[in-house]
Amino acid sequence: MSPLKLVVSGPVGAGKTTFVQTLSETAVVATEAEATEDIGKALTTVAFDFGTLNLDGQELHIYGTPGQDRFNFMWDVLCDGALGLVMLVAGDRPQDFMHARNILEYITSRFPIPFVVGVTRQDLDRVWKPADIAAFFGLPLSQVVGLNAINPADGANLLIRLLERLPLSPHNGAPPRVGSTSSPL
Amino acid sequence: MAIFGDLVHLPFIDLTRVLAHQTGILFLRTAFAGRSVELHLDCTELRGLYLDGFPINESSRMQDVLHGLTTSATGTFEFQPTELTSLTPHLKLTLSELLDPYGETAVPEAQLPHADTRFRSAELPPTAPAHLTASWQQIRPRLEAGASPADVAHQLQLSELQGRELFSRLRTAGLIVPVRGNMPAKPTGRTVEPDVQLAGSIPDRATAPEAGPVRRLLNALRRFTAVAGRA
Repeated sequence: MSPLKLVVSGPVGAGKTTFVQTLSETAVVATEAEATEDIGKALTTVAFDFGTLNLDGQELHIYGTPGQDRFNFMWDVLCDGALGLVMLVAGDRPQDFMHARNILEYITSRFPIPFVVGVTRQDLDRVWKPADIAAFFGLPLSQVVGLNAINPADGANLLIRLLERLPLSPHNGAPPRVGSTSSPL
Repeated sequence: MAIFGDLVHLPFIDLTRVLAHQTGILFLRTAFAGRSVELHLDCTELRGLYLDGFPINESSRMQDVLHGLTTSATGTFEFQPTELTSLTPHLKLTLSELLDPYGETAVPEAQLPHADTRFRSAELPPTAPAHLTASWQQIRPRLEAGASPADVAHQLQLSELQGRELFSRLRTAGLIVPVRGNMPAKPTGRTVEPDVQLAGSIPDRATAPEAGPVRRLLNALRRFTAVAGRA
């Protein structure tokens, strides 16, 4: 059975690495390096995070993208052939919402890839709720989910919401990139 | 519920779109020349406008304040949902119409759409505001199959930055929307509901019908969340 590929993207600090670590059954391969500019934390993902999940014999490979624009070539690399996209945004960081929306729209306008938006840090009191993020992104509420990235059940619920958007055919093929044939992975 | 932030990160016009289905008071602490502004909103309607606690009724003064808010570089905001019945609202104006003239406001480069993001015409685009009429007539035919700011900038001999700024304005005016490569959203659960099985009732894998990979993942995840829910 071929593994399926899931991409987790979002701005710096959205909780991507945490989300991959929460879901992965294997030790996460992380490509973190010291941040060379002030991004609010010492280390940042520069290529991708990689984790795996095996459910009922079906392997899922989970790739977390870098959050900084300077590594945006990795978005294309990682999304090529992906089953779906999880776009994370921290609900307590409104300064990142516009960036998150731009990332999402850049990816989804180029790849026919099903996606959901996860609004992290829902355990905090002062946090934007999924309905408000949905309004900002111009998405139906069914496509935006609140979560705490360290909670496995929240992660599973988010994946369920994403998988429910997929056709349930025996063969869920990888979507091609719009207007390109490149397949770096 | 909390809707808060700073206009430096979330432009005022975008903020009003988020609030288009809400009723309550938007507090802006220092967004208008360092002065506090309150907007009493009932969905798309502006029901009251206060500057430093004093109501603004005069049309030209109101436009001054709204113009200031759309062009303000900084200023924190917070929205508090509340019923307006006891707050003596004194206006009944459509906010989006009041803001139409300010769609030309410069947007920081970091907030502009990516040059390669593809957009198409909105399903039912509104009438283009005066400052965008000429551009819209020129660009609209090029958007039928989707086009990016880089595509259009190349065709119209604009710089890439100008293309991104133009698309940002068209989007703010509701004339264009991003192309979504994925299929239209299905009502979640409806398609798969006949196959949904709660934990404990999942058929044995040996006797279960052959399932595709997505169904296998879904079933396993649902079992996991059902177990987590009981724990």
